[in-house]
Amino acid sequence: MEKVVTFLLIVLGGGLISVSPAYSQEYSSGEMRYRAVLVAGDLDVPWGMAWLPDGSMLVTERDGRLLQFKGDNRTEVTGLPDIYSSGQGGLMEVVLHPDHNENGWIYLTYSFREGGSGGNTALIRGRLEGASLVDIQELFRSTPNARTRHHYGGRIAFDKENFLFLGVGERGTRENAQDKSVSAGSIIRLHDNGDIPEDNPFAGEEDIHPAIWSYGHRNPQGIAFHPETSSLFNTEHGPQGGDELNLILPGRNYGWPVITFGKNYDGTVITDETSRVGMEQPVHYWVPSIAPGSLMFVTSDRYPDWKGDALVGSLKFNYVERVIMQGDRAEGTEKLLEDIGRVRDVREGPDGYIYVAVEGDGIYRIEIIE
Amino acid sequence: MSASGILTLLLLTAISVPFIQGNAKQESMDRGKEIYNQLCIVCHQADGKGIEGAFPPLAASDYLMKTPDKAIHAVKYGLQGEITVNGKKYNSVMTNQNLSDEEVADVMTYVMNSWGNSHEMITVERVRKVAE
Repeated sequence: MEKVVTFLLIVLGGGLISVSPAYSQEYSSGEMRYRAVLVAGDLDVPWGMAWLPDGSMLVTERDGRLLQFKGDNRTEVTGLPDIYSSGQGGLMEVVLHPDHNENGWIYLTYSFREGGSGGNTALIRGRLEGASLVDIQELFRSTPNARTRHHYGGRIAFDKENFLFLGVGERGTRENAQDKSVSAGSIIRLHDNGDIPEDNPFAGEEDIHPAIWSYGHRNPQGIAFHPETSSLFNTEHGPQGGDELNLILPGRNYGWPVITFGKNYDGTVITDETSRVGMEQPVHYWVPSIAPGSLMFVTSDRYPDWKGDALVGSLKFNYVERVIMQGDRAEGTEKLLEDIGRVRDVREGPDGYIYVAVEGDGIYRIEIIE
Repeated sequence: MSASGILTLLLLTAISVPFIQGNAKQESMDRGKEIYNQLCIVCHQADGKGIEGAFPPLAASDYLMKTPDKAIHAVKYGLQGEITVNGKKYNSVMTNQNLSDEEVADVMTYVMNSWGNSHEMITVERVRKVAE
């Protein structure tokens, strides 16, 4: 893979010369050459990105800060609730309501702590007024509380009818994933106001959490709808090996920890079974684990070779995995942006560009070199 | 109190101090192990050997054992940029885990006393003194 680092000198008005904003790096994918251009630097763990109608960008930092970037200005949004930042927890997702232009809603997920019982993942929405988050409504709290510091899930996707899908992790207790009385270890489906839809697959059934859409998930940290087939997909972290890309169907069981392609971190066996009747197989899985922190599908015309494919950020191996899709099937993979760093999030902005959030670094925009 | 009583008391104190410290160290290691198995194990592995070329070892690691304050700094604030561990270069980002000073001390005591490593307990005071 060819990689060239270039520093561009930007001449600003008034005779000032700055070496900073335009850092970029070049890569190739088949015949196509592309570059990653740094658009926002000096970030710690940029977990999520969203773009407001005025062109500004919201970025969540896991330590609890919500940042707004407008041109060269960076401001911190105030008014957020108490966020428990420790280990894998903190401020996580930021997503705009599909009708944000009309209603102004911004959705956030974060981890909370309730005294000695520990905590879990919460979902809120609020509106931005100046640099403050106002009209905050808490929509959901995953159950049960746990004192662990990992497996919060946290990513959100809206479908075309404005139903909200949220993946919540099993909080380090494997049994939660198969226990339908709790929401941990599942993908939940809510109305945009947090109400639980009456047509959810288990609604009205005794001892089952009515928000559950699918279950048997370990730590789902990617969720997205396929732009052509409209199917829902997720990515989730396996243990040692066994990360998965799944096609999510209502009421289905995705198997953790009964079936998995992964092992315990000490190399011991979790289960000999990789399949079982009544449990879903992944569309694609990774051994060894790449640590998939995000999932998106390319819809933009800016990247004709990648259109319709899934992009999965690898935290562990510092690149973006392109999963070449044929409808709902995975046909192959290609490593993009090799060695860019720990990729926490990959998203398409409203301008059609793909943006990549890199831990300990910043946000990069991917541009095709003509 | 008789002289022999005082002597007995002194003797008991002298014997029990290492046990009290030992207990405190063991309890710190137990708490540290819990944190390690939730967060650190993913990269540094169950045997503390890391993954060569990507994630440095903690077992028999000169960086950890010879410069504990550098390691404390890494756990407390995160680590970026190239480091050399046991003669090999590593350049991965370790993100800030937002642990409390107590939690950093616990996990440091655990890793410095596991997989053949041996070191005195890392105290909260020592962690507190490691400034950004």
